[in-house]
Amino acid sequence: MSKKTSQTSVKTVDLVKDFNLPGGDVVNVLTGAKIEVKPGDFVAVMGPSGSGKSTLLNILATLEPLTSGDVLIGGINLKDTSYKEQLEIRRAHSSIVFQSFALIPYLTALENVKLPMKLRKVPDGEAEEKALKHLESVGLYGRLNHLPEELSGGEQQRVAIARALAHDPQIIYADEPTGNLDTHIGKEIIQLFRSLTKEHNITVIMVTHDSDSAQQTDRIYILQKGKVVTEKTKSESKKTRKKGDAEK
Amino acid sequence: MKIRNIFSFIGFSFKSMYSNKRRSISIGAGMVLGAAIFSSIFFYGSIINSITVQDMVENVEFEVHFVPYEEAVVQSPKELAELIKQEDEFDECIVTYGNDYGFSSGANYIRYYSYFTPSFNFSEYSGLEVNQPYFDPIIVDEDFINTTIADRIDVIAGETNLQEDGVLLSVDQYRNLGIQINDTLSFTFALNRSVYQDGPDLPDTSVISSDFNLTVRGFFQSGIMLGGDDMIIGSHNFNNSVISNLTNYKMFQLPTKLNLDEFPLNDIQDLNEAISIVITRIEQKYPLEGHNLIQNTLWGFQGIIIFMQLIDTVLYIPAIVLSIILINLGAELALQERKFEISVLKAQGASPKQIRRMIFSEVIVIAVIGEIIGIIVGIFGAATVLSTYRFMAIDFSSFSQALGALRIKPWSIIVTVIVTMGILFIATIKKTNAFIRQEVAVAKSIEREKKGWFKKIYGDVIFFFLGLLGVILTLAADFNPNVSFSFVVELLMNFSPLLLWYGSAGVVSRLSTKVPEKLDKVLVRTFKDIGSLLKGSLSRRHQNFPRMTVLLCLSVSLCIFTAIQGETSAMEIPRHSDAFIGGDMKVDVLGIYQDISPANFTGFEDKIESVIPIHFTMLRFGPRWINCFGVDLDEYGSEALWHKDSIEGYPDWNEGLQILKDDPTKNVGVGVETARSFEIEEDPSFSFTIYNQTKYTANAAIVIDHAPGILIDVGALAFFDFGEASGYFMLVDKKFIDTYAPFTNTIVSAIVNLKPGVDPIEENLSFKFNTQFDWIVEAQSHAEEIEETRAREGLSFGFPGLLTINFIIALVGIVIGVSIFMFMIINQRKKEFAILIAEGASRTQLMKLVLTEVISMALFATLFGTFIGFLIGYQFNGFFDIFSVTSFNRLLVFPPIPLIATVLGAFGIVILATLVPAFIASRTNVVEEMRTV
Repeated sequence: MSKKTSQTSVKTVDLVKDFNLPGGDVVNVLTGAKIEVKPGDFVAVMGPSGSGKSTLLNILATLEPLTSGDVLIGGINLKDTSYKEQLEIRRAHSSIVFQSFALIPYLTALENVKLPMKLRKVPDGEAEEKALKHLESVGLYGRLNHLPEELSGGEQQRVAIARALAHDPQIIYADEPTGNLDTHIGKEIIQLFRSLTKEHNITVIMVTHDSDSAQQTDRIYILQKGKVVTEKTKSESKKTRKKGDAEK
Repeated sequence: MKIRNIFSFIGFSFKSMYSNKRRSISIGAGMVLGAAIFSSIFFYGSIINSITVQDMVENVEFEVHFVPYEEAVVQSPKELAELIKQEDEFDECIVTYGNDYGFSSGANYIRYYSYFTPSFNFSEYSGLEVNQPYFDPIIVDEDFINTTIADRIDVIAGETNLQEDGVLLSVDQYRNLGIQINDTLSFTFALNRSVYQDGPDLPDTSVISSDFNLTVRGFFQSGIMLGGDDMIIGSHNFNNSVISNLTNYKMFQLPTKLNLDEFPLNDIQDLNEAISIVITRIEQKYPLEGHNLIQNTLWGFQGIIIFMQLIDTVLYIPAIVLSIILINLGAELALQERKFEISVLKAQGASPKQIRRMIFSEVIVIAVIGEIIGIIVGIFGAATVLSTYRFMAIDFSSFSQALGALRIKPWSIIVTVIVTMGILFIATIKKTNAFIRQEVAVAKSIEREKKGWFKKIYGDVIFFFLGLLGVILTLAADFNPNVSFSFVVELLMNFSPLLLWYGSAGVVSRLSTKVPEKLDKVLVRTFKDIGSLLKGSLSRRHQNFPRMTVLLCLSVSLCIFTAIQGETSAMEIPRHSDAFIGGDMKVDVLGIYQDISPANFTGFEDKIESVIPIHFTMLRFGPRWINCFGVDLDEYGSEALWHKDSIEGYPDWNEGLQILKDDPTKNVGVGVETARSFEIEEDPSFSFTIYNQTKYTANAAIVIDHAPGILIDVGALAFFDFGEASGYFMLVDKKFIDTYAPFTNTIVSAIVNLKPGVDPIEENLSFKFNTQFDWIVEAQSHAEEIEETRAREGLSFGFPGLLTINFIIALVGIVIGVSIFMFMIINQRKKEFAILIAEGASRTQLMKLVLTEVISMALFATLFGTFIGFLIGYQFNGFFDIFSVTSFNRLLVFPPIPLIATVLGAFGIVILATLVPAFIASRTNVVEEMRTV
């Protein structure tokens, strides 16, 4: 299996995910979800609570197994991969940004950013250099040696993004990255993602509840009862928004 | 609270337990282990009484005897014996004649008494200037000669043969009188009558006097029942009129052997009470007066039991401390998880009472289940250990026997429940109250370890250094035996192992975050991919690592201590046998021999390699006597079993003996105590005399700690070696004894070395020597002595069993302690592991992270624990020495292989115990963990 492709696309076909509950009940979270994300796209996944947004993201990020259907990451079908291969895909192609920032509390900002590179056995000098570069790019060069608890929510999320960028991923999965932030900071984070897609041709798939944030993306997938019910392009989205504004 | 409410709480508790399995297991495991430790040591310890009682009744000829008293006896003695035998509580009852009997008749008191005396001049016969001896007759009715009671007589030379004219005499008397086995001698049996009245007593009158020619068939060991003056003879030697007279004058007794199945053998008091009840019943039915013959002896054993229990208590302490730590650890770590939950409940308006009820109902349910399992495990654990060893004469050869022997009394269960539940509840109350008091906002912050008052005043450090001081003082005393300390210092030295052990726990807790930090630097460099993450362990150490380090250190030190003392105890037994037997076999000789060689062992000459006769004489030192043993030092030095510490200052004993050989009529060796009394440090020369002859001078050239095959003077602390206390001691070359006591020395024993390939046990040589040579009082092989010591003395205090229990407890403590700790730590860190997995950490990296985190702590705790274990093992040696089977110094043994295995094993167990939690960590469900904020 190739560890990395130059054009990593994400595609799901009839993706089904069921959860078996202890009592024997089965919850059908995804019932045939279908999305297609091209390299460099910035897409949002929206939908009501329980619609399967986070589950979709977790499956794409190889953190959760699918029940049936196909998930193709850079042409590799996750259905046919082992845990080890999925780890390789995760290491090679992607990064995850969580709503709760998910920083290791006892590591400084710099160490947190270096962490994925250390896990991938990148030499220390190179890891340090890259971590500094990414922290600078998210505007946190002055907070290198601060522990997460000494940083604000926005700063912590920036560290998380810098960490996500650290090993040069082609895809960033973001699970409600602005959910714990105020509107102003949230906007800054979205701008950061936007610039990443433009400058580094990185694909960003973002689960969000916030329609304002979603408007900033290239495409919005709306999930309902486990299926993608609407797919809006950026222009459609803008139209809808303008129409909405006019009606107001 | 309404009953419905109670059930609803219990139901809720079960639900909570089920949904938080790991938490429940942590509390439960601590509780199970705590209860198991407590109950097992209680059950094990409580059998000491039982063992002592059983040992005694196993070895006694009869426990009860009945005698007639001043009432008409309708039945004959035999009829009475038969009637008693029919009672369930009696196994056997025999008839003997010949004791004395007295009764009041008006103003007079009349007494009948009987005795045997030689009807010849005994001094002429024996060649010794002695008074005419008297013997107390025990005339066994001919119908009972071949009974179990007769078989129980401990005949140590000759045989139990009362047929025809055979008699048995005590070896004590005959050692003094010099009578030989199979000698046929004439005796007079006399039955006399004494009348005591107001005024001058009337002269004794002879009722019967008859002469017998009797043959000495064997010598019995006098003991609890049989006295040194007793002569055992069958009634068929007497004509009917004598027996009728003895019966008429009520000069008979009915010794009985109890049916022990009908008696409680687990307790001295209970047994005595049960015997009294049975005696009273027999007394009511028949005109007999019963005597509990073992009562006084049983009470005498009480002293030994107290000593044994004292030792047990000392050995219990480490186990109890470990169990307290385990229960505490399990509870605290499990409750730590609920910190956030309690805050949420508080925020939702739950009252402290409601929170306490919720937590306590769950803890109580777990504790009850854990307690039941723990006590069952404790019962089986104690029975398993018990069945592995032999105690005195008691051998619980099977598990079921051992299980049946356990004395599971309500108090031992109640104490176990109270203590273990108490610890758990105190920990729970402490933790719950702390959580209730805390601000909701800080519920997620890391809790820092609070220092108790004892630590604040550096009590642990003071204890540690006092313990260390005790060890140093002991070292000083060991290197210089003449150094003496005041009572307070001696007290400190005796308590120092416990001070050291307890103090080291505190010190290791202080160092637990500091030393591993240094080790971490090495680990960070070694494991680069997870190096930075290892820093996490540093931030976490202030929480749980100190406790974990303490537990590990105490467990490892206990393992090391038990390994050292276990091996030392095991080595003591062969050392004792080496010193006691001196070679392959030792024979105690009766009578006077000028020399003994293999030729004296007719029929066995081809089996014997060499014989080293030990000559003996008494010398006078001022008003006191010295036991002087003389041997051929060339033979003795090369063929007897010596130890490196046999002669003080001469690990090569031949070098020491050479000093005696250089001037054999002048240079002597003296025992340690003798040397101290003679003050030979100041002046090694001393004068002695042979009876009232001329004064001679000798030079105490060497000090003998113990000499093979020779009993030497006994240290003041050898409480239980009464038989070996033999006054002052001197070892000399045979030339010395030939020079000063050519006619008064006797051979008292001889060391016999066998030819290669001759197995004394297989060929039953001891028995053959005992029975075939009338000049041998007792023959004993080295192997038999080992077995006997192991059975009767070596394990009498149950040391090995207790040491084994402690060893097992320590190892289980490590496994359970580390497992509980790591499970809880991993539970607390699940989110961290989820992040790492999301960031690309492999399962191997996660396992490595968890394991590495423990390594530095385990390494430090194991090394420190080993050091403390060595010190405690050394320091406790003096304590055990008091109860040692030998009269000489207990040689501390550091067994390299068991110790290395213990250290590596303990370290390995820590790693193994971490593997499962590490495996679980590597399989953390990222989605599940990241869902909860």
